[in-house]
Amino acid sequence: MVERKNMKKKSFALHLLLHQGYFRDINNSESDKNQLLFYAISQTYLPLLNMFANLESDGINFKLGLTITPSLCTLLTDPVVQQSYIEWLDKLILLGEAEIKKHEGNPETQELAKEYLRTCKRNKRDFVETFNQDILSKFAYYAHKGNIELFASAATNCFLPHYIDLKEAIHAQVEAGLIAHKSFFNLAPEGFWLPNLGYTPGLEHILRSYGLNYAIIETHGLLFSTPPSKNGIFSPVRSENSFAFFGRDPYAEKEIMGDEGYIHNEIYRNEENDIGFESDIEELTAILDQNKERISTGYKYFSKASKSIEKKQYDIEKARQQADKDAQDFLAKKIDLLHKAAELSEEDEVSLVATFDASLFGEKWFEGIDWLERFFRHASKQEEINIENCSDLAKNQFTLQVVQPYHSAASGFGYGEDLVDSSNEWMVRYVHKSTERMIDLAQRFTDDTGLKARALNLAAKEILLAQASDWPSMLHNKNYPDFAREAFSQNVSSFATVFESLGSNNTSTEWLTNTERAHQIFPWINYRIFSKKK
Amino acid sequence: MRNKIITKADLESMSTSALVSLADEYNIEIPESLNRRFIISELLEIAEEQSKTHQDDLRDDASAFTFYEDLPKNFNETYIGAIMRNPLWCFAYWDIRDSEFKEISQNPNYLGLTLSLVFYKDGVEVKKEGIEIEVHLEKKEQFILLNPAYNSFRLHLIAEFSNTEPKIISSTQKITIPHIILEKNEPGIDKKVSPIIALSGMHDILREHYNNHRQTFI
Repeated sequence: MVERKNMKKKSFALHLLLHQGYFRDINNSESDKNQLLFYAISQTYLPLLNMFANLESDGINFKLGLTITPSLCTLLTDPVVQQSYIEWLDKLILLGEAEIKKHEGNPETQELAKEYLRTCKRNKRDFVETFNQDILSKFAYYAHKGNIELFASAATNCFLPHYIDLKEAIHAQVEAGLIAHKSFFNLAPEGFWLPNLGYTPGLEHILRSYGLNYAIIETHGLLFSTPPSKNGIFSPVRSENSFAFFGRDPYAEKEIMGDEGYIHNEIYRNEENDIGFESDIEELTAILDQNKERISTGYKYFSKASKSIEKKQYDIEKARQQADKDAQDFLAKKIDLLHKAAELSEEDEVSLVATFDASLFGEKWFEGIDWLERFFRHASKQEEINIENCSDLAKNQFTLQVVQPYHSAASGFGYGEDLVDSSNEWMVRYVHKSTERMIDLAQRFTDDTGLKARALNLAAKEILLAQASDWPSMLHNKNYPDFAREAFSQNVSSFATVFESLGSNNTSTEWLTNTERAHQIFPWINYRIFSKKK
Repeated sequence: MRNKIITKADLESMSTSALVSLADEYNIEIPESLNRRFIISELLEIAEEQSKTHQDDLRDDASAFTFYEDLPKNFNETYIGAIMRNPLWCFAYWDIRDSEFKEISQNPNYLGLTLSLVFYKDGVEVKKEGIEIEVHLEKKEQFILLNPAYNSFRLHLIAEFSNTEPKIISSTQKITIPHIILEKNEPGIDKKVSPIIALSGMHDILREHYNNHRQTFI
């Protein structure tokens, strides 16, 4: 890397979103919806924690921003889910042992099977013994230590701009999100993750009223601000009430995932070619559920080159070397971009904030965590840019340029259009009418206790779940659409049931108990979070 | 009706005649001169009184309890709502209570339903720019392109009659239009911007906006 002369401070911050909707199938531990979470734990969350430990033991003072959403936190702390994960790992271990036998005549493939089996066993040991099934505490440890900055988020990944005319609903989402954050991490967050980076003018007033200080918005939300931002994405800005906004780096995601992105290198592992999809069904009985729906197992033996030519064996060592090169290249690009910005800027310092969905690292890109670790290692060896967290970059919050950011989002065509289209528009009336009714109920029943309060608390929980943008997004993307339709319908119909029961003054404790058991999220919920704020 | 929770939103969405008949059900005497706001407040007061006189807690009685296994067919309410799909397109949805629609449609002069779109600038209604959209009962939602020259809008669901003034059945609240006309976010790929804004990715964003939104932001 070439040393440059510009002496302005240059900072880069990375922020990862760890999210999963509240998909909890307690009646079927082998459900593929549960396995989405299990795969994420094995491929992303545990490797992230191992990466933190490696960096810590080598004395590398890394900084990384994370949002771990309340629905994911709830699933990760759910004893039923934890036990199912351990059982799933046991099945993968059995599968791995069978794979080693199967490939006795093919040492290269057998070596890969052995490596994956070692990873499964290590994941089980880490999850059960090292973390005592509580991986959130380890994230909290690094947050308290100052390595990671944890943002709070909405209770259920709700696309907040859709509720700007029902402010009590936004208050409820923010309030429940903050209570969840505190209960899981015992930290008071300064940053707030806007689900889908959905922003519309006015949100800053609600967020500021809870003591929150900043959020990240999509690039055009900042570039289209009024008045125009002077420094583009290279400085945070603030609204009139001094809530700060960071504009997202528009290049980072393309550099990794775009058409020419690192992720497509043919040396990397082919994530689609999994024995769960390729092997004879008789060889997979250990891991398939009763419906024999095929799933990803993590036993993958081919590189991405297999897509275009004859199947090519995956070479872990070569892939690691490539991850190292790509991490260096990414760092060099960020240094170059910040140098150019420093030369053009009239400010004393420039900064850049990149955000990624954590599933990119590990789940979608097997070598992603390795890449990330190498990025931090290379960054620690240079002095041209600082790796910071948003909290460091917002220290001079009250001196930032005052602007009104523009309505924006990171999904659809820049405004969240995918969340209201022909595939999911039917949901809007149900969730909005039910939300209006919930707000009315919270006004009407201010001091109720006993069964009535219990029913109202369940109603509040069901509304928060129905507001999750996961459901319309899954319908739009045709990703388990039947499941999304059913889950959303259950949330709305459970709310309707409570609403009717309050009118007739009759309920069934059996139904209440069963519904509470099915949805164990937000056990501390107080329906009054939906009441009008004074 | 007496077994239902009556909310302010429910009442505000009801036609005056439906409010009068509900008041009648509650034995509230309504002098002809009273306006709908008064009827609503009287009904809310009585509903509140009734909820207080209810026993304090719900009865645990599974035999008298009904639960929805699936989505309710409708909310048995007359309402209209809207959310912004992007800075200029809104998604509107509405419904009419069966009894209310029956009453309206049995009127021999009933012509049909329309949506009336009213714009506001700096809080003042700009009547001349409003538009009327014919709607059919079987279709209860619509995407609508708004006029970027205004700050906010309201939608009215209206029943049209041949011999009398149209009747507003339900209205949305005033909804902010988040779009602001700025030269920089209009479509176009050759805008001149400062070097640091160009380095921020503005040209790519304008190109994407041109490709995806040029019909909207024109």
